[in-house]
Parts: sequence; C-alpha cells; structure tokens
Amino acid sequence: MNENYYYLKFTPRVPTVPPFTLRDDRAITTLYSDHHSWLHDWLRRKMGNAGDAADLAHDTFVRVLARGIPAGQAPQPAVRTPRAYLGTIARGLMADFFRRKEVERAYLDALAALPDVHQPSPETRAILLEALVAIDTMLDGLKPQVRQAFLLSQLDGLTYDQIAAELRVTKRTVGNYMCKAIEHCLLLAP
Amino acid sequence: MNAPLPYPQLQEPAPRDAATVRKEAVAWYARLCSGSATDAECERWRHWHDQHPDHQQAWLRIEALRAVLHQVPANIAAPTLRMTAAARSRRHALRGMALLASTGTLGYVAWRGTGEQGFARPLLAQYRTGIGQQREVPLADGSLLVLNTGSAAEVRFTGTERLVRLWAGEILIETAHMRRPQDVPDTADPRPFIVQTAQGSVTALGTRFTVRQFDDHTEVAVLDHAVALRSDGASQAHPVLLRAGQQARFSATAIAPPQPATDNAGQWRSGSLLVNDRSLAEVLAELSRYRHGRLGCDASVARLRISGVFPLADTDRALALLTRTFPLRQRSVTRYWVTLGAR
Repeated sequence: MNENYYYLKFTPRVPTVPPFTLRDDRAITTLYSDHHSWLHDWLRRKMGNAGDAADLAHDTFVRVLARGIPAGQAPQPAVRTPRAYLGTIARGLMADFFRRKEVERAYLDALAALPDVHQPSPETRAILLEALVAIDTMLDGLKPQVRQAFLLSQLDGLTYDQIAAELRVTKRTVGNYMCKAIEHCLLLAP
Repeated sequence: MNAPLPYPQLQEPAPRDAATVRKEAVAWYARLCSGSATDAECERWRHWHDQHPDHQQAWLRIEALRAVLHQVPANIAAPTLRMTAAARSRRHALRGMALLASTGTLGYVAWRGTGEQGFARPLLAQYRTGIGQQREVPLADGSLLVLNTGSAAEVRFTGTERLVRLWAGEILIETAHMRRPQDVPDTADPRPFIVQTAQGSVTALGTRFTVRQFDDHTEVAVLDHAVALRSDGASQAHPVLLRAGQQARFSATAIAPPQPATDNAGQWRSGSLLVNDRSLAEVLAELSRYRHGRLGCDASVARLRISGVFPLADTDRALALLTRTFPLRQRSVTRYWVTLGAR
C-alpha cells in the first residue's frame, strides 16, 4: 500500500477532478461507454442495492479519471483488461463503503449509550465519524488480541498489568503487542 | 537545531537508519505507556529524544499518531472501534461455518479451537468504561446502572436475585423503585437488588447510591433512602444500615461507622467535580481518575486549599481553571505527564 493509495482513500466522496491531458479523453470515454453498464450491474449484484451501486460505479470512473491514462504510452493494463481494472478499483471502493457503514452503525450505537453531558454537538458528529473511519482503517490488519491491547492502552488508559490480566497473557506479551500495533499504525497513519 | 542540546554538538550528526530509529521510537513509546515507567526512564527517553534530529523526527510521527487517536473522545472511539472489530470477527466466524460444511469433522475441530482459544473468548467484563468515560446501562427490571470512569461491572439477574458484580471503579445505581413515576402503582420486584464487591455486598432498599471499589476496601454513599452493608468476613450477624446522606467504607473484615456523605457524592453523574476546601493533592488525585497519564504537583503546593466546580469530561479545561483561579503553573513533558507548581 503506497502513500498515494491512502491519499485517495481519505479524500471525500466527490473529489474534484484533477487535471489530466485531453489526449486521454477518448480512451476514458471509450472505457466508460463500453463498460459502465456492466460495472453497474456487477456492483448491483454484489451490493444488492441499485442506488449504492450507481454511486460506486460513478466513483470508480472518477477514480480512473484521477489516475488518468498516461498519454502517448503503450496501452496500459487498464486498456488491455478493462473489466479487471475497473473491478479492482470498484472492489476497493466497495470495501471502503462497507467499512464506513459499519463504523457509522457502531458509532451511532456508542452515542446512544452515552449520558447527555458527554454527547458531542451535532456539528462535530460528522467530523468524528470521518476520524473514526480513518482510525478503523489504520487499525485494519491487526490481530484481534493486538488491536484489543492497543485500544485498552491508548483509549481506555489501562496499564500493561491491567491489560495482561484482561487478556490473560503476560505483561511481556502486552509489551510485544503494543510495539507491533504502534509500528503498524506509524506505517499506516493517514 | 536551535534548541540547546544537553551536550555540545559541533556538527550535524550522521543520519541514522530510518527503520532502526522507528523501532526505537516505538519501543520508547510502548515503554512510556506501560503505566510502570519510572522518572528515571522518562529522563532517559528525553535524553534519547534530544540526542539526534532523526529521533525528534521519529517522535513527531508518534505525536501525530496520538493526535489521530485523540481526534475522537475516547468514550466514543473505544466502544465504536470495539464494535467494528466484533462485527468483523462475527463475520469471520460465519465464514468459518460455511467452510465447515465442506471440510467435515476436521474443520469442525479447528473451528471449535478458535472459538475457545482465540478472539471469541470473552475478553471483557460485560460493561466497562475507560479513563474519562461514563456509561449508562438500563437494566431489565427498570433500574439504571451508571458506570463512572475506569469501571467494570457485570449484571446477573436470576429468579431469586438481581446481582451487579462491581469489578473495578465506581457505579451509581438507581433502582426501579426510585425511577418509577409517582402515579404508576408500585409493583415492587420481589427479588433483592445486590451489588457485590471484592469485600462484601450492598443490598438496595428502594434507593439511589454509589459504590466504589478501592484496592482493599469498598466505599458506599447513599443519596436516597437506604442500603444494607455486609462485609464478607465480618462476624456481625446483622448488616449495617446506611441512610440517605451517609457514607461508609468496609473491608473484607469490618465495616467502619457511617459518616456524613461528602458534597461530592454522586456528582460525577452530572459531569462535574464539586470541591469544597480540599487539598490540591486530593483534587489532582480525583481528576487523574478521569485522565490518561500522570498528573501530579510539587510538594510546595500540595496542601493548597481548593474549592470550586471542575468539568470531568474535559480535564484539560479543569487544569486550565485551576491554574487561572489559583497561584499555579502547569508544566508538561507530554500530555501524559503534567505537573502543577507554584506560579
């Protein structure tokens, strides 16, 4: 996963279209007219929701535009196997989409359990959700025990002794978990 | 590099290997978060930090990570991120089930294995809060359980009793009897409502009260009506009755005589710390329950008398209030290491 991938991942849903050379225009138009309806169908079958599928099909092409097809070069993989290329991008977007849904659901549940004095103001709610999606993405790929140890330490403020008792492992193991998690996050932090 | 260094450096030091420095920064941060880091270690960390510009660069990444994590209040982030993890592991389990259908007995054994040893093992007490968090849990009988910062509790209702086991921290209980509106007929739940701690039990008598678990004793304060205290090891045959406006502590062997409850009893529920003529050291000890890291003060100001109301949901603001209203100054190594001294 390179830097660029994360940059794209954390940009808002309707990004401004970055400049790309007009010479590529035709290639992209062709890509769109040949494969848009296929992509939309494919996404609808996967997601079971026509509206979401239409949005994601649209986002997929915006993503292709953002990457551009370099001018004057030999045909890119995109052009040789367009559906595989579109499918790969769409799959990534779909994973982000479901993650966002999942985080949002958990977030609303968490808010419901909070006493009134701790409720965030309506205007900060949306900002918090964005931040939570970013953190959840950053923690992705950690083993459940490691993630748990990291959350208990960094969010709940437990000492390693307390975490060790909680997870039924040694304090030394907690230390190892923490190093693993911190390094993982340093590498993936947005 | 304009900042004064602990020892003279005549030339730019040679750059160090980025991966090695990152590992060192990770190890230092992991050590400082352990909860058992000593002052000497903090000093050694500072030395490491000042030693090389690459170390400072690496530490900035750590600070940035902390900033990302603290964008969201912990009392929202912790439950949310735990729920998403749980949802994912449920999906994994389901995927495992599907696989099971195709792999027969061996697959079943392997699946059972992960179920008991792996992530599916109950890792946490049923209800818990982290540092600075509070949580309300409505119970099946209409009672309300409120967990204060850094608490863990379990609820077990059976045919004969309503039991809340307090494992750590502090809770407030409002029994169904208290919460019922005046015009609704009283059909009291016949099962006794009991809070069990490490040292004994508290039986509610239609009431609102707080129970706090300390290392070696339990403290109970009654806000309405009354409770009955029983110490596990005490020989007294009759429980001690504690009435509204009283508090008492008990150990595993004895129950101390009831005292008038402090003004602050149960105030945390409304998100504030009410302080009436207490020493700074006491106030900081109370505030640090709601805050990550170490919070202390110089001996010269430890006995300063403090009165006021301080917000618990935002301890940074509470500290700012303290330094504004009293002759105090805040010194911090990191956000995790705050000391108050004389101004």
